[in-house]
Amino acid sequence: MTPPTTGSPLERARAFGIDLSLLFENLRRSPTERVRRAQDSLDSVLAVRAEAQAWRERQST
Amino acid sequence: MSRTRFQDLLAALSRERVEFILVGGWAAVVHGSAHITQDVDVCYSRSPENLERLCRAVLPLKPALRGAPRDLPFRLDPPTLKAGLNFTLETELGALDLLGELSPLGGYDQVLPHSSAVPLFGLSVRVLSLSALIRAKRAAGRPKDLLMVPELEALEAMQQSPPVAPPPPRRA
Repeated sequence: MTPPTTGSPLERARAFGIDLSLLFENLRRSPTERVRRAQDSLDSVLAVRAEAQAWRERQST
Repeated sequence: MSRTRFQDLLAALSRERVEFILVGGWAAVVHGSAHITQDVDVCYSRSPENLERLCRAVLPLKPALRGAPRDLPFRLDPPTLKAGLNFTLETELGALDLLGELSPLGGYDQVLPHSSAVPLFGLSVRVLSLSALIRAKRAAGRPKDLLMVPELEALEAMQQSPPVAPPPPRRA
């Protein structure tokens, strides 16, 4: 997968599948709020990953 | 692997007045990236005083070399830091990468002019600028770094001339 090289930065990002509305919303937040939300997202991802791992282990026993 | 606790890691470094610059994925988050990242990357000053401060800050977090066998002896102390350059650590507060140099900028003193102090959780944290972060991601050249470039460049463009309304997301 190669990022596009033509067009404006916004056009390239959109063509690459990046949801610009997420970035727009992030820029309206303070840096602390951006980090706090990223931490929440990371926690959710890790929780789902742990659940999936536990499920796989239950399936294999 | 420990759960990354970004705020607590920053607090631990700041408490000991460690000279560091936040770089990598969490710096991208500070600039508005929607990217989710686990490891905290910092470029640290290699002055003897700072190596002492860094050890005081990180030692209580029980650091171990990430990905190395558990029985591999590792002692985080100033001589070890001085002998090495980049250290990828697992700590009680999550993954912490200590970078003595950041390509293509150089060491802490060269990176410092490309950073600014950002208020985070009541702390003042030096964060790599967006333009320097883009240069670093390009220089790293790994697919996972290059994949971030379009988003970072979009953020840079949005910050230079913010759109008046959020652009509609593309739907497949």
